[in-house]
Amino acid sequence: MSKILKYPTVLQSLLIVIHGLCLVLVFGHERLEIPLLLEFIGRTHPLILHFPIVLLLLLALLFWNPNLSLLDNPKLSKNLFLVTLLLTGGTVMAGLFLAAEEGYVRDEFFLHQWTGIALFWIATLWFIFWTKKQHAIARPFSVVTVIMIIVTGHLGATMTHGDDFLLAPFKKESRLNKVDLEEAVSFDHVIKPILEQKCISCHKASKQKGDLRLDAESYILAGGKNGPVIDKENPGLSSIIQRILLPLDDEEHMPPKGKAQLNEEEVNLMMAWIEESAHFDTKLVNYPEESRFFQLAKEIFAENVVSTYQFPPATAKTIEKLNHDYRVIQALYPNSPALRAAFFGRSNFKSEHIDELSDIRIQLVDLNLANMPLKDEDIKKLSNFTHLERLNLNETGITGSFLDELKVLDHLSSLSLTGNKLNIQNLSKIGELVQLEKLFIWNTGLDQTAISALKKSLPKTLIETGFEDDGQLYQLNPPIIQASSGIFHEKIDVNIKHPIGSVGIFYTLDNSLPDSSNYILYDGPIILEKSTNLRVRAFGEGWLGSDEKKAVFFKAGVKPSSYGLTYAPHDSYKGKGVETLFDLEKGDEDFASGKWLGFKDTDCEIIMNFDGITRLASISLSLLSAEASYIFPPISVEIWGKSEGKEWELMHSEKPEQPRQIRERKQLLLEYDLANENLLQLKAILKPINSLPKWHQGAGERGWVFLDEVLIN
Amino acid sequence: MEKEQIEHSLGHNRRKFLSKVSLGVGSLALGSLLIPDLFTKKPDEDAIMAALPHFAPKAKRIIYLFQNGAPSQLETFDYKPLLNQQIGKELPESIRMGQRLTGMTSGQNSFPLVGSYFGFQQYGQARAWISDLFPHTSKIVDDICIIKSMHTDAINHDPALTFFQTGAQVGNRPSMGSWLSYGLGSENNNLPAFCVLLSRGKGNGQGVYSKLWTNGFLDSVHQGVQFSASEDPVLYLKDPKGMKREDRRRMLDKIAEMNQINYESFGDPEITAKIQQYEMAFRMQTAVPEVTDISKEPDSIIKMYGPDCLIPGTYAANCLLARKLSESGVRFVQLYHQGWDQHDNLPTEMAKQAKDVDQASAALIQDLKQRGLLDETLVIWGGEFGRTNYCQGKIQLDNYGRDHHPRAFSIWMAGGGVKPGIVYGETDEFGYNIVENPIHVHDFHATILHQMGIDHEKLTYKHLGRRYRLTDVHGHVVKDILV
Repeated sequence: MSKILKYPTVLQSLLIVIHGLCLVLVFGHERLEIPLLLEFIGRTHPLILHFPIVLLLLLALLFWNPNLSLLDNPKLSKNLFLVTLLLTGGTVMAGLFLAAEEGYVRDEFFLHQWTGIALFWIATLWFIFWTKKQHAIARPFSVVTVIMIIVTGHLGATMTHGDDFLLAPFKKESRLNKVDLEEAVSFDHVIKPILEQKCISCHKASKQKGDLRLDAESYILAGGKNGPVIDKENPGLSSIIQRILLPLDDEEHMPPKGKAQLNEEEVNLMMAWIEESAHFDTKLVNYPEESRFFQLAKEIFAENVVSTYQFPPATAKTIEKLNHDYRVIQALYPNSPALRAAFFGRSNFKSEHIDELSDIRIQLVDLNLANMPLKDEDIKKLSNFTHLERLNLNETGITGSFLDELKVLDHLSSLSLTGNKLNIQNLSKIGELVQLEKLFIWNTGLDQTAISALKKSLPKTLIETGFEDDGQLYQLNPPIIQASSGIFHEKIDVNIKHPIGSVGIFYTLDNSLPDSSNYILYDGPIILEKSTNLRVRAFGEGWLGSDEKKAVFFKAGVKPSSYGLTYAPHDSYKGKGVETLFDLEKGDEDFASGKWLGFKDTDCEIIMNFDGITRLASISLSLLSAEASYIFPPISVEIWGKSEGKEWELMHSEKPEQPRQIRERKQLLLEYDLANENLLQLKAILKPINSLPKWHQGAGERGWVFLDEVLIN
Repeated sequence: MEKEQIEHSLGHNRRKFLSKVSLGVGSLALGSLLIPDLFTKKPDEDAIMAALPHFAPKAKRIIYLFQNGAPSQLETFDYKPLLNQQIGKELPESIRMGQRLTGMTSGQNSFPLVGSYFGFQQYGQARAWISDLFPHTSKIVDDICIIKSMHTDAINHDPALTFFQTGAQVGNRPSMGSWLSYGLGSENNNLPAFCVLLSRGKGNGQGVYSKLWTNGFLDSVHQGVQFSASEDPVLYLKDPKGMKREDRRRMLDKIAEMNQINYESFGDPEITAKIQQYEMAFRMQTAVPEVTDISKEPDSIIKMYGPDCLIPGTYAANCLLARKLSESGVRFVQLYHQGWDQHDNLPTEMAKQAKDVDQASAALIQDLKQRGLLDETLVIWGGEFGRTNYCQGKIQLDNYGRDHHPRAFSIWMAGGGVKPGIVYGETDEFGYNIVENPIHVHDFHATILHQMGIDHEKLTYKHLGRRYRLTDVHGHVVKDILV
């Protein structure tokens, strides 16, 4: 068997079969119902087509180059040629399957299909004449083959990529299609942009889903596979509208789910356009004023037109030249001849920077010089900017001497003078600027009489005088206490500050509230040598006294030589481990700050060792109570001591008072006397509450104990 | 090190080789077929950028006063007397309509309605109801647009916050400020286009994290720059003692030169971004102290914003700083004020929170207005969602809490071409569902971009094979609230 059926023979027979199949398909594919698998094969067309292209070109190269003669290894070259032809045939078939799916334009497809098939035939002929060694005939076929590859390939690419894919980079067309309302045409400037954005990608020359094109009037009127899309008799029944309005999940809905949908505005425009007879070439201004389409379309153009400027634009080069890091010049909006300029960076400002704008003196409509150090004479220069509408001179240090020069600026509608100490002598000069619509004069030192006079001379101007101090007394904010820590060994320096330098800082050290009769006036760092309650308030003229600020400073005179925890704190609040309790760092109210240790499921049991024998006066435990966050005082506290040669001895056992309701978050300090005993070791056991009280939102659950510091004296 | 040097001298390393091969060969063969516009990315983006802004902007800058943690609409702007009448009664299922709950109240078997502990009065031309917690805001009512019909998709802080800031609930998308920086650039080249200011607040807090001001897939120059609460608002900006400005200049020139050489051989655009960032930092060295210096502000400014404005890191100080940054051309100033998450202790905590923000928020509006800047600056005040009309936890007349509620909440906007002195949208009498003019977060974004002169459907960036927008595939401009 294997001797008779040699590879070339099998391949040749297959080639004949494929030729036959191609013929059947090419005439019959429009009537074929393509099964799913073949549809898949069809879709591989754009992928596999590259193989025959490369192979055919390679064969042509080998064929024409005498140094790489195909004849050197006839068997190999024949097999290669056959495989190439089979792939070519396969590609043609796949293409025909693909064509059976809907959506391809007849003209382009027609050409591509036939050049493709012709290519297959011609290449086959080339092969036949080549095997028969009739090179004179084979040669022209090889040339035609190469040409056909280029033609077919190009036609195919046009179908997938669009008409002008190749040349598109050379065509720099403006994407901005902006016209004024007066010139706008119903279809071209209103409806077409919508279709272009939302519909045309599937309904255009190169891709015609449902045999429908929406890229020109004639095609839209022609409709698609399912008939016309616009029904002028019954606008509401137009299928284009119906499909847009179907629910997104409906199969018939357009654009299909997953593609960009029309927004409400666009739907309304489409509906109004069709309802009003779907005119293609009517100018918008020729629609009646009450037309809904006109009203909707007008909105689009309203966004473009703020006010029309008649002056010529400055060149892009001029604008670019004038722009630098401290002066920014921009068009008001794209394609507007009107410019705005803003100056930044007080320390880089020079008066000449204004002169340099003379190149755009016609175009400048908005000038922002706020915070620039201007001289009064600089104002004179501004009268050159003939179209200036908006001028910001806030905090520029001018006194107003030359503001009357601005009266020649007919378009000037808004002038801001905030923060300049205007000279009352110059009031009449400002009063000459009758063209102003808005004038901003807050914090310019003008009193009520001056403002009334100004209002009289500028009756049409809205004068914004801004915030007035109505004499209401505001409360000062409390001072800021600055100290390295709330806990110290020997002594500590405490600084107190207030952002308003002129206020007085009153404090006490005896835990009484500072007020006008009971205080020490702060005038430098306070040095504390024992545990102290510091209370501070700020007082100043024209203000109400501040709330108090409290700080507690603890002295921790003795540090254990070593210490440890019997049970680890909860994983979420383990700080730096036991070290946290002896680092002289108070925790704040944020219990997750890492300065607190939290215990819930285990007791907090601290064992402290003291080198040699130490007289200990007291132990203090600094705790947090925050019932809202399930943090309670411990249900019991035990203090055990051990002296030389003795067993552990219970020194204190206390049940701290438990809260009866949710209170504000606060810190508490439990202190226990150690009676100056000589102790080797000390042990504190704090038990978290195991069942929260009934009134609490977490009734019955375990509570937490939070501890940030242990102080021993 | 030797390996790196060889790789550098060859202009290649394994990673570059692979990416070049895969890009080169792979994209030639398949890309042209499967992604027809693979090679057109650049012109595409150029066209996007060239067309910006798409139309004349109403607002040039934005200040967003984000109330992080979600202030209750029922104690701020959405007055619902029915809740006070029906206090303790069950929320009807016909109103709740299967609304999902957070893990914090899903275990509750009762949803007792609770009314506002605080009184409400009507103010201004719109006769807007404002709670007694906001006496200063009620004075500027004719300058603001109160929106009572915001709604969102998310029900927990992180996704809701991320959604508001980036248009998506998952992280990694560019923040609103980054989109604006990308679309419009900075007005002032000496300051970042997008600045972030944080303040802590006095109530139960929720975190904020840098993903909220991330540039996402946009170039890193669009990232928000966080100002610190210390007296040095931008850390590490000062030269070390003894270093002269000319020395710094010379140093930067040399570094830029070396970076340029590196860029020419490696071609990584992040290198040029770095050169630009060094240059900007150099200019910021003079620009930032100029802007952040509040020592020259008049006393009346301190009275307007409240004395807290002199303490760095407070909300009032941030409002004042926001005004100064915005005035100096910063495109987007994002404030976050934490502490609005009142699951319990609402009356006490909200009173403190409101006191923290009320005066300074109102002062900011007033201050912009008196400088003639309010019409071109859009100010937004609001949180990430609303709060339930029923009580979380134990109900008491003077102590209750509210859980998260995404279906309706209130915010306000001012300036920047937004209609002043109106109240927009309405909720049902339970304050639970919107009955009129809902505004979704996507609509909110579309509207804000619109005010900045941007068509939200056209500001896109191509990433991982598809174009992204701040509004994803949603969003309508709410024209009703625009001038």
